[in-house]
Amino acid sequence: MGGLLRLAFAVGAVLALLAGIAELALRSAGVKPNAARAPSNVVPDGWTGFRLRPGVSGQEAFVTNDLGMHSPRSYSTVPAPGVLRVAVLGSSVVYGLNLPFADTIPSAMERVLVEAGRPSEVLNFGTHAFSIVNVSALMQAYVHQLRPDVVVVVVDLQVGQPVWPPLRPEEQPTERGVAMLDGWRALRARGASRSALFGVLDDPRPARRWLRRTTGLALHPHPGLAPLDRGARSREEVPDPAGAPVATPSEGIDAYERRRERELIAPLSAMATFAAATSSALYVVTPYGPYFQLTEDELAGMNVHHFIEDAARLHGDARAALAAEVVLLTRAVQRVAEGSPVRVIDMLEASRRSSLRSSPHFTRDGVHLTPEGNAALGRIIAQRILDDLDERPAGGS
Amino acid sequence: MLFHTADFAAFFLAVVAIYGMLRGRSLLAALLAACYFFYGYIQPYYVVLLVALTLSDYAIGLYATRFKARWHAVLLSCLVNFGTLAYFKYASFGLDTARGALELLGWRVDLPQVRVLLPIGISFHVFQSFAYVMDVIHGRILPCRSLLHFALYVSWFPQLVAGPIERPGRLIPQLVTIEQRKAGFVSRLPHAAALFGEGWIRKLAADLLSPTSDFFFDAPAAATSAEAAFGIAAFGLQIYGDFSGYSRMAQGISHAFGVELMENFDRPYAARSFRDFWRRWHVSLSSWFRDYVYIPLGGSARGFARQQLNVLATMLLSGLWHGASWTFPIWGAMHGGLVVVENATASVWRRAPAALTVPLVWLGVFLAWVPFRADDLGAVLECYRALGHGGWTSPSLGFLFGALVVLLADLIRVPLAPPVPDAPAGWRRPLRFASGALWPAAAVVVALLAHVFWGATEKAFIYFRF
Repeated sequence: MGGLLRLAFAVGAVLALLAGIAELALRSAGVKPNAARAPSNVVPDGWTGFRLRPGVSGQEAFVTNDLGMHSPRSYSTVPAPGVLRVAVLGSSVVYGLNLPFADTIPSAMERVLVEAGRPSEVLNFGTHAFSIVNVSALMQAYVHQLRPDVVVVVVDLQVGQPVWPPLRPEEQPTERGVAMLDGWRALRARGASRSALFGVLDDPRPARRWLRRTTGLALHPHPGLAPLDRGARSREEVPDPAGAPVATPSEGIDAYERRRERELIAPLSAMATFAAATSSALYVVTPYGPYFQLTEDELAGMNVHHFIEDAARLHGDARAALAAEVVLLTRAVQRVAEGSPVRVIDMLEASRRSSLRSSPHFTRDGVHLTPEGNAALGRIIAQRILDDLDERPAGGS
Repeated sequence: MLFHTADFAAFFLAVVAIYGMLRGRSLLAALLAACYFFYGYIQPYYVVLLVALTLSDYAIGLYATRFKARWHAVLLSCLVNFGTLAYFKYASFGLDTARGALELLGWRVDLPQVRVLLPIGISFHVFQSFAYVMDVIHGRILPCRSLLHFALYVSWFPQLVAGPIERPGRLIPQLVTIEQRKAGFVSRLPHAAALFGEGWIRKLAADLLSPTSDFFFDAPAAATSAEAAFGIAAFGLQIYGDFSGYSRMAQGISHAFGVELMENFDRPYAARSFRDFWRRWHVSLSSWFRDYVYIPLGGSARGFARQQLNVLATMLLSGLWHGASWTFPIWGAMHGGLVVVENATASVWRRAPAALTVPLVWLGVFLAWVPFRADDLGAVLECYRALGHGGWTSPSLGFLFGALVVLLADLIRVPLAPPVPDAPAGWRRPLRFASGALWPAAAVVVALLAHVFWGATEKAFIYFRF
């Protein structure tokens, strides 16, 4: 064993010498260490575009379980007998952005259901920047594998934007993020922030780009292209869907609203059909927020403008556009429910009544709810599920 | 268990600990158990098959000498070894072929289906076992009295699953004295590490060549002529890097225990003729076929025409050994044909300059790799047609770097024997360690380059499937 150790030491010494030479060479060539980086909290996904990175630890608000859900615990694929399993899908509103799991809508729902004597587990499938297209894909690709009895889709202004969001699961510079990483990844990130060589090893993409640019040759043949396309175009020429411009409506208000409804109804209908086929009860919650009684100042402080850019151009008034957008989303949900077993939890009237003056702590930015807001919405959804379960004849599934 | 994985590193350290602590029969028994563990790591139940074949050949060897029953022993060994090989490797292929042939004749016969998993390395250890019986009955070696030594010969883990196919006269005496070889373990480590490092570099280069060959062979109909040429060349270099890499790693691991394995590749792409190529390529297998097939068939002793027939028969069998598909005998027949043509024009070949013959050998060998790699006969024709498609596509950097590393590794390869005498003293000792550390360190550098520029992922050795 002593001989092996001596050999390992000799190999290590040679490698350390080579690493030192490489570091000096890279520095003299102008390569700098990477800024401290944390991996994005989303990862690419072939079905849904992207999804939450599984197994993120550290700060409670960003914890995900092994399935990539905002939850401190994992779930078996088969629910325990007698336990009602509810899956809640949506955007960062459901996820509970910057909130610990206990303050999220699913957590509030679980508390209400359990307190009502109904053993339940409520799974948080909220993913920030998800639109209805992502939500629909998530439900059909992953959620059904956990066999939920009930699926709840919370439609908000973000979910109501049926375009692929320009969010890419790439590394994001953040010093704070390094603290979220576990041992090996944190060590790698810290090494990359101090050494040019480690920086290249940690993120080789710039080095690959440099090599391709310098030699004018591809690193590998392009196996991703269909055989018939070979030679006709290279991978670089394939358009990046995330980089495609978002359509700007040049039509009138009526045409715009008809198009938007169609875009919403298609994925919602697909979810309704899928839920019926998998014997899950599907609930859709319409947008909830103080959108109808906002003052100009209050609206200016809200983070909703990018959702209503097109509508505001057509309406000529942001407040009117916001109200029209909420009504449009609600109407689309109602239309889907007309011809299917989808159950609508209509929050339109509640939204009309709510104001920041009467409930100043209800929402922080007009989209994301505070813990109090989440608790209120969670209670409403859970109560509706309980009511429906009580109405159901004995022996029904 | 791949040699360049953490699993194997842990296994190796455990075997080294056993090697250092135990003595006598306990050492042999523990090493044998380690060999069986290595073999059964993926397919545990096939250890039973390995043990059964070992016991039968051990008994046949004793029976042959005790009762002077040479031909009984040969028949019995053929039946056991090649019967087992035929069942596991060729039964399905044979039945499918027979079914197809009968259907062509208009007879629909319900032949049984045989779907069994091929035991890893069976083609290698069966040949090694059979070589023992043949050498015993021909009086080249004495039968091995110790079952432990014989079992260790059949299952010596560095070369168990993909060779080199060792000869009993070389390997058994080294295993018999393995305990005495403990003394030089530390001084052998640098050279063992150098051999292993060189092998790892070859394997890394082979993995970099793989996407280029896969790209072409997966869809030859859509390839340009350049893609076809690069794809075929990539496979020719890939299989060389892959298999020679495995052999080097095996030699390095075995060298650490004081057991020298034979040289399996002797710069085959520097061959000046096709016969020369076969003296350098997969030496342990080609010499096995020479000694146990070609020479028993008469070799070159019965006239020119008979010699050419023997060459063709041997190469066909060698092709069939590689796999249960018609493409492999075609590969063997192509090589047989090339050797026959060379024999027929021997005087011209001898006079031709190396600058002409070496590229000709490359051309012939690389074109012959097509049936070896292609999935079926239709794909073979598609690949050859692709060479005439026309069009230019630049080679990828992975192909260029991989090819460069494979050829460079040939130029500066580690000699099989240690460069300085064992146990150097004084100032030479640390120097020896440093030189031994250079190759593994170079392998780490190549691995990092492959990771940085190509995001390389490890692949299993090609010859594991044979």
